[in-house]
Formats: sequence, C-alpha cells, structure tokens
Amino acid sequence: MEEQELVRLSQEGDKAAFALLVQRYQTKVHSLAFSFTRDSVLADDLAQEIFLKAWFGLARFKARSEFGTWLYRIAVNHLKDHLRKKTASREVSLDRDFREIPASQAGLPANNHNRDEEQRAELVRRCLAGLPEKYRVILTLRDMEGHSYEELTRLLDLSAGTVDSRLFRARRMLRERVESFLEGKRR
Amino acid sequence: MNCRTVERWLLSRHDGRLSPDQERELKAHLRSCPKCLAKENGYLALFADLVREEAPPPQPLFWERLEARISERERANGWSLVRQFCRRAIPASLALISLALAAVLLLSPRREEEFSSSESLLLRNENPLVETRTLLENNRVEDKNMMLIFASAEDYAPPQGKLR
Repeated sequence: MEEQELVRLSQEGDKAAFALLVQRYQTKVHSLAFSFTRDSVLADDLAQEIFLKAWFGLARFKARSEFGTWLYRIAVNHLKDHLRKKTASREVSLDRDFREIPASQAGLPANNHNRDEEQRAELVRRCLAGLPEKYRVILTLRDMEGHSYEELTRLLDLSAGTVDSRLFRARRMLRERVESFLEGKRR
Repeated sequence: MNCRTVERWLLSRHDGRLSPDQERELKAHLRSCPKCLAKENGYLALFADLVREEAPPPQPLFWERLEARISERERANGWSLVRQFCRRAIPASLALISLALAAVLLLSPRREEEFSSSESLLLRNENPLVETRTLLENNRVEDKNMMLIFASAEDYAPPQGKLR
C-alpha cells in the first residue's frame, strides 16, 4: 500500500495502517536513537516514545513534507530533549568515565592494534557525548548517520549557512577535545 | 591562504563541496604547512572513528508493545478529557444557575400591592370617614358590631411574615 494512503488511514485512527508505517520506519528510528545513546534498551524505549508522539500528532501532519521527514523531525526533537535532560542531570566526565575496554569484551582478538583503535573510537564517542547538545546532534546526524546538508536543514529547521557554520564548529571542537585528551595522556 | 581557511576547506573536501581549483590550492598549502597537515590527519582519524556503529535491531514485539502503550495513553487521555470537562463544566453550570436565578428574581412580574378599603377610597379621592360614619350610625348594635369586625378584619389584617 502507498505510504500516503497508510498515513491517511492512520490519521483516521486505523491502527493496522499505522502498524505498517511503524514496521517501515522502526529500524531507522531505533538506529537513530542508538546513535545518540549507544544503549540498545534505551534506544528501543526512545523509539517507542517517538512513535507514540507520531501517533498522537498525526492529526497535525499535513502532506506538505514526506512522512519520513516529519517522523525524523519528531525523532530528532525528542532525542534533543532527551540529551538536554540527561546533560542537566549528569555532566559527562572523560577523566572519570574513560576506561580501557577489554578487547574480549569488544569482541575483538586480543591484539594491540585493534585494542588501540577501539579505545580511540571509544574516546571519540565519549568526547562526542560531552559536546554541547546542538553540536552533538548535528555531528551525529551528519558524520554518523550520513544525512546530507539539505536533509539537515529540513530536520533541524536551520538555514544552509547555519548548518555549515555549526557543523564546522562542532567538528573543530570535537577534534580539539580528542587531541587535547590524547596529549594529556601522553604527558 | 591562511590556515583557518584551510581548516574549512579540509572539511568541505570531506563533504565533497570543494571545487577542483580549491582542491589544488589546498594540496599545495598542505605540502608546505605541517600544522595543517597534522590537522588533516586529525580529521581523517576522527571521521574514521565516527563511522556509525552497527545498531542492533529493535527489541522483539516492537509494534505489540507500542500498541499497548498507545491504548494506555488513549485511556489516560480519555480520563483527562473528562477531568478537564468537569473542571470547566462545574463552574460554568454554577454561573449559569446563578444567572438564571438572578433573571427570575429580576424579571418575574411584581405582585400588585393590595390596598385597604380606606386607602382605596383615598386613592379614588373619596372620604373614608363617610363609610365609617355609616357604620357608627347604624342603629342595631349587633349589625354595627358585625360590620366593625368585618371592616377591621378587612383593613388591618397584618401580613403573614409580620405576625409575632
């Protein structure tokens, strides 16, 4: 069935039609939530909340944009709220939280090169988690999820110039944080 | 070309937004500037580390769990609508009742005042003493007394609320 038809039926309260829409998008939404949280159970819960918001907000959906874009906007806003609440309750501390991950736990052979790579990747993710929310969101969407600039303008409701400058600042801040942490460890 | 511009161009190149001329200029600068070259290596490593981790699939029975949450929320919303309605309906109905009462009191026709026979006579510009004199001049004592009793009962019957 066409997506537009499914959306129309869902707007009329047809849960079976909405179930089909959920089936189409659940992996993408869950994957997006996982990129922000790196916790499968939490990502699952957030994905459910996103679809709940979508169901109760369907009456406001006008077919000016695609359903997927609209749903993604709900998802991004919900995840931003989640990050804000989380940041308010607990600041990420690299010095306290960053620990070596045993290679066996990461599912890697106990080989120094792989372990170093995994540790660095872990450090980058933790530095990313410690960035201000607006930088973290744009970096995750662009450099982890691979959204284009045009999609970012739509999802974040920003002008192309703002996307460009915010992404530049976010990437520079992340690089500087990772490098300063690595330099600090080397000293 | 300054190093700050180079940093922007490095990132633009990563996004495929650099023109061939800019690309040539950037390469020339990187050959001569070890600081910018280090930055380029830093970014390359960063982007490699940022590559998305393979996300696990959602937990089983995603839709079934979601449907249960939708139903639960709908029930909660139903109750909250009732509560909302009651919160608004009770004061509104009280206000309406008060208005209706006020309207009844203000608009109900006033009972016409009843006048005593003496007052009626005075209002008609007639002398009430004439009637009294007729009573007093009656020759038969029984008749006179009876007429006086009826006249007093008629004229001085106090209103019920004022009885003590």
